[in-house]
Order: sequence, then C-alpha cells, then structure tokens
Amino acid sequence: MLKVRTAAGRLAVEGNACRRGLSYAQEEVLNPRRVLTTTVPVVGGKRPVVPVRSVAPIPKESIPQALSELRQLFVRAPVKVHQVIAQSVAGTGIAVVATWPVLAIEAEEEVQREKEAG
Amino acid sequence: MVVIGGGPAGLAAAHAATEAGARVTLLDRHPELGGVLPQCIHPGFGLKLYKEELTGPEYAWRWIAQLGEVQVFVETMVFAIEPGLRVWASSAEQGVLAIDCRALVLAMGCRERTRGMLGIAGTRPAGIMTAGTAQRLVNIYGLMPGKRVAILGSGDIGMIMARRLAWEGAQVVGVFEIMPYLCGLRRNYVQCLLDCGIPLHLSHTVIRVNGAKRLSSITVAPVDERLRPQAARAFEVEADTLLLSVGLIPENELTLAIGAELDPATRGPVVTSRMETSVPGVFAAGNVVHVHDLADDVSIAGQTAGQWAAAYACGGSSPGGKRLRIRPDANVRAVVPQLLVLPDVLEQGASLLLRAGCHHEGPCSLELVDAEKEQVLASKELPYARPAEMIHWWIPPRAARHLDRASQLLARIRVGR
Repeated sequence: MLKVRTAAGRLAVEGNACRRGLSYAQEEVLNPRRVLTTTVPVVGGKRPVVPVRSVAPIPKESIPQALSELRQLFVRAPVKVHQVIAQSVAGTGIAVVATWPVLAIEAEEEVQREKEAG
Repeated sequence: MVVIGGGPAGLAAAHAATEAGARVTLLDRHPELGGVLPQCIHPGFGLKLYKEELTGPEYAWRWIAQLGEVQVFVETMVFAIEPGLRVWASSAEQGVLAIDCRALVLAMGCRERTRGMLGIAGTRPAGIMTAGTAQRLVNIYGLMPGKRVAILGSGDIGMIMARRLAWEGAQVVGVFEIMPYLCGLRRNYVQCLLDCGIPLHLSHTVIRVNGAKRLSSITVAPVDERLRPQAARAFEVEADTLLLSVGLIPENELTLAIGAELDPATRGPVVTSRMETSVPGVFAAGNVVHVHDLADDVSIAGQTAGQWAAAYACGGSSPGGKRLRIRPDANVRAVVPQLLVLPDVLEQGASLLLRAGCHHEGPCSLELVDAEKEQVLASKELPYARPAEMIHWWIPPRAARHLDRASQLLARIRVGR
C-alpha cells in the first residue's frame, strides 16, 4: 500500500515498489491529473459519435470545464485516428484527438480505398 | 489455421501465428475487429505491452494495424467445428463457409452475467441492463441509458460506467457490492468512484426492483457474513436505471461442442502451458479461458496460443514428455495453465496466473506443493491476496527443475506465519 505523509510542506512517500510509484504518489497529492476520455458527435458518419482523448493527462479540476467545452463540438466524417478535435481544452494547451476512425456514409468506399493506399 | 474471435486475444494470436509462418484466417461475428475494446474508450490499456497509457480503441487499432497477412472475415459466425478441424461459419456476404485447418485458436472471449442469473425479485421494467450494454449505448451509439443510475456490483466496467455517466450528466446514486471487498481494480475505485464522489456500499445488495414500465426504485439490503440479505434493514433507493456489473462468464459453447475438457473453477477449457486444450491442435486464449483483469494480459496469452498453434499447423504435433497437472487448493480459486508441459518449462520457465480464493490484506505466501508428498516445491511471497487482482507468478527454469519430482501439484496461499 502506497502511503504519503505531509509535514512542513514536504512529502514523504513509502510503500512504492518502483520509481514510478514515487512520482505517481507525489503528483497524485500535489497535482492530480487524468487522461480525459469522452465522445463527440459525428455528422455524416457511419457512427453517431467518435471516442476522443486528451493527448496528455489534464488537471483533475479542469475536467468539468473540458467536458462542457467538448459538449459544444461536433465533427464531420470521415474522422481519422488521432485527428485533432480540439487544439486545447480548458485552457490547458492540451489537445483532444479521436481514438477510432469513423467512415463517412456517402464517401465510404472512397475512404476505404484511401486507407488501403496508406 | 483459424482463429475464432477478433478481440485482443484473437488479434494477438493471429498476428503471432502469421509472424511464425502460418497462414491464418480470422473470423469474427461483429462488423469490426477489436472485440469489446472499441467501446472501452477510457485509458489504461497498453501500460504493460507498450509502456504508455492508451485507450481501448487505440489499443485495438494498434493490433489491427499490425495484423499483416491475415485473411479476415467479419460478420461471420462460427456455428460448428468438426473433428479433424473443419470450421463451419456463415455470413450474409459469404454464405456458408467450410474451412479446413491444421490448428485452431479459440478466442471467443466472455459475456456478462445478467439479471436472470441473479434472481432479483420484482417487476420487469425497462432500465435494467448490464454495464457493458450501457457502455455500448453511450460510447458507440451516443445514447444515455437513464438519468438516475444505481450500479449493482463493483466490477471494473460498472465503476468505469459510473464515471462515464456522471460525466455525461447523470446522477449516479451509488455502487452496491454484496462482497465485503471491492471486486474490480483499485485504480478504478480511485479514478472513477472517489474522483466523482460516487459512494461505494460494500456488503449491500439489491433485493428487489420496482416500477411498472420503467424502473422507479430499487430495494437495497445489507448482507450478513454469509451474504444473506437482512430484509429488516432494507431501504429504497430511487433510480430509473440499474446497471449490473456482477461478473463475466467465458463463452464456451464451441469449446464444449468439440469435446474439450472444461475447468469448473475457470469455466474455460483446461489448457497446457502452450495454451493447447485437451483436443490436439485446438488452442485457446484470453477471456474464453479465464477472465483477465487487463487486456494486455489477454494479448500476451493470445501471442502464446498463436505461436504454438502456428508451430502445430506447420507440421508439429502435440508435445511429448511429462505433463504436470496443477490443481487449486487452499485459498486459491483457479490456476491457468492447468497443465505444465515439463520439457518446455524446464527450458523456458513457466508463467502462472492465479485467482485468490481469499481476501487478505497482509503478507502471505503462494506455494506449489507436491500433491502426494505434501512438500513445497516452489513459493512466492505476496504483499496481499485479493480475489479482484490476478496473481502473476513467473517460475524461472532453474526453480522449475524442482517441479519434476511431483506427479501432481497443488497451488495454495498460506496466510500468516
């Protein structure tokens, strides 16, 4: 079990099994961050929504703001994996990208050919 | 060779087998590959294999992108397997397919337990569904299953959906778990329930669902040490939606049909350290064998199955030499593989995955015991034993030498000294 003690503004971590555990414990106490994942509506796609993620963890307290910003968005199909959906969320400078492709309804075969061509 | 199922186990098996020189056909009944991964939009995948935090779709995408020269049939359902290994499948596009193969990998995964398997009293209103169904509705179809949600069971998908629905504006009233401990991963408790302020009620269960057309409330009761609900202390919780996250069951209809031996503890086929079932040439990997905690471990098992299946398909036969059976004993619920192929293990070591049958927050030791002589042949110290967290035990070749003495092994967890 990971334990963190705080005394006089300093952190003492014990019980970590590796160095990652140490940095995780420090960050979890001082500046907890999470990778944000949600979905964004797609217009003209084979699917109504596309899953998205923040490319890096964002501060935990920014999550509600980021979610409400993403709720205003929609994207037009086709959507490619790792296509940028928002350049920055909640003023963090961290981008949000798609994590799964969504083909367009009409141009479906064309996109398929494009994908095969690389 | 043929791989049945295009989730993490099947993708890894197909990829590994192709790399090993086999010609592979991959069959999946869904329109797209990836199994459950495309709907698991949360992060936490790939930490083990890729040393980075990927979402489920990204993790699936990597495997699909590197698949290579695999013949893929999607929307194709396998309905029978004949001895001598002819696989029968059907699809709208191809009609009925009969594929003869030299080796087969079963990678059908698992399915969720449903309300009918729990026997909860009450009406039959809309709004009761498995956590995975809700996950599909929200993440694939963009639909919200309800406004005021209760969750029965502290499995991982339930906790992940608690956060997902809270983020989408639903009120998540609580997670009710019949056991006195958490059934999913610690990190999901912290990042899904604590982060969103969703209460977890241990030793509580749902004893009744109420409502005519739509669920209106659930009746919750605490349980005693023997998990019996205390109806006198029951209370009502208003909810229009009840998600069930109460366990997964390996999907083994095809496995049974070809006559492979099943392990009652895992509800999956008995496999050797080569992931071969009791039917020669038929291999299995992933959640069809036993339910894993992490997709990474499923992929690793798929690779093992794929490599050995390819070796079999390219002219091999089942290995000779001694096979050592491992049976779960005190405080161990299940062990995979159930059979060690001894010549392999002496050369390459053995990788065991075990499920604890007890919950103990403190040091304990995991032991492999000679079943006849009651002699400890290998052991490993554990910081704790939690049924929710799979135990990984790597036994290096040098330590595996001692196992040769036994004719059967028992796996035990000894608590306290």
